[in-house]
Amino acid sequence: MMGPNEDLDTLVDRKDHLGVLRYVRAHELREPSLVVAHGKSLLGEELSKNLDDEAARLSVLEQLCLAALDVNDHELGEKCLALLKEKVGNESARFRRLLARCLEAAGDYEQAGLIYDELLKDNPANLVALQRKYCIARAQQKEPEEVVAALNEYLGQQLSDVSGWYEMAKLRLSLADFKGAAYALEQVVLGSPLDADIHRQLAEVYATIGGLENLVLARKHMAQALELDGSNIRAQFGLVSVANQYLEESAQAGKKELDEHERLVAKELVKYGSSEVLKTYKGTKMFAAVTRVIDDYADSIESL
Amino acid sequence: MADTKPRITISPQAFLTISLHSAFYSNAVGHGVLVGTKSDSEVMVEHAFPICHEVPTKPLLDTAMALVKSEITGEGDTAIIGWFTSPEILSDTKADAVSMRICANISTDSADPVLLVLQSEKLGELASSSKGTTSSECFKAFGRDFGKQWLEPLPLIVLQETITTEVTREAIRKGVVMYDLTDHWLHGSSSLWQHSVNTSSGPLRDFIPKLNVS
Repeated sequence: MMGPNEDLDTLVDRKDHLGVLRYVRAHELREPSLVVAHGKSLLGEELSKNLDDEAARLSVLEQLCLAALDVNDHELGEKCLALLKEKVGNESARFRRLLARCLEAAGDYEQAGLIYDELLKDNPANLVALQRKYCIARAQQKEPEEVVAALNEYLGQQLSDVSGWYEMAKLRLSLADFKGAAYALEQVVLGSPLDADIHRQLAEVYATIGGLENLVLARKHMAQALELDGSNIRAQFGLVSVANQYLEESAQAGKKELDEHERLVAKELVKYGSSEVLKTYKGTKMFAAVTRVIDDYADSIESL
Repeated sequence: MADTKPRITISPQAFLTISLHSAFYSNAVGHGVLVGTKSDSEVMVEHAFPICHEVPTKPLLDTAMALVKSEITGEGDTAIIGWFTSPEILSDTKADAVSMRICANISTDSADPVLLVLQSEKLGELASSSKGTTSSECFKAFGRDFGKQWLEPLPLIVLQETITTEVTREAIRKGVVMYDLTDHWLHGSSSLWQHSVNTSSGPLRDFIPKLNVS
């Protein structure tokens, strides 16, 4: 039985197949090859071995089926599905969900979509069905509005799903909708305020949108990223870049928009970011190239 | 005066770099900078600098451009001459809106950049040698059209096509890793930023001698 101190390597070395599968499931890891190997070792090549716990065997079959789809072993997936159907019948919602996944893997998005629609008729808040409908829309490369609408429908039911909002951010970015991406990343920041990389991403998106207000936000989030992780090289360069961008844009702004205090802050941030970058690269092969870049930034802020 | 399109010539090391980056990040979009020389009739793509395997943002783009310019300082007429992208979806053959926006941003009054779009399906065929696909078929080159979009096809060749095809196939099959700038930042300042200029120490070191390039 898997204890609280067990790690995956220990379970694998011990050939504790059930333990490995439980670990992967509990930690929501994506290790399909591992699952297939240990699933087959546990249940045999024909998946005919029984376990003491029937519920555990059914869970293993479900997990093995999904892993088989992931490694494109449709034959194994169908075997698992057939064995599950014998035990639970095809009325079970969980079975129908798995069947729909198999149909998706086979490229039959129409049939898969019908099953998810039925599941949603029974329960309009079926989050897995809503998720999969979004995945199908993406796989079919539907029009961007449809794909966004599908994800919006899911997020409408599950506002607190941080990974869902992150998916929305990536989708918006792929459509070059940086304002939409910024909104989505703000939701991610609410859910993961201590994740340095999310702050860094949000800062980069605000800087891409541009405008003095957004650049102030960009500076704040980039500074927060460095506060949380001072060794984040991308954030170090990012701070120099966004603070410099603020200085450039404010230099072109009218007197009403100009805030001298903010400009002074921006100059100090460029200097701070530059010193961090140079410290990071000191003694490395890229030091000379990086120094030239930083010197250019230093020269430009003198003239702004 | 007749409006002639420039011919795009891709060096073997640039081809190898872009192909390996795309093969390594086969599930993601790839982006990078092209460096070389330009004349009225020809654009020579000498080197490729993989930048990221995500949608690039302005700070990333600005920093990447500055670093590339710094890396090629002292290389004579060599300059940034374009951008490459490898689409996320296998069947996509044209550049996305982000790539075109980047080209518009790096465009100057005197010169338009070239946009190279990797044809992923063709690269897959090249790697599996299933259909006799050659390296020249693995890219499409685009210039700016009248609508100011990068949709104007440009003629393209890859130098030493036969050997480049064979070496690329070998490298992809061996699973050679080609990291980009964002990977370099993730792995630390001492890690190598892999691009086709640092051939003596990077992942291309075993393959460059086979291409007979310096």
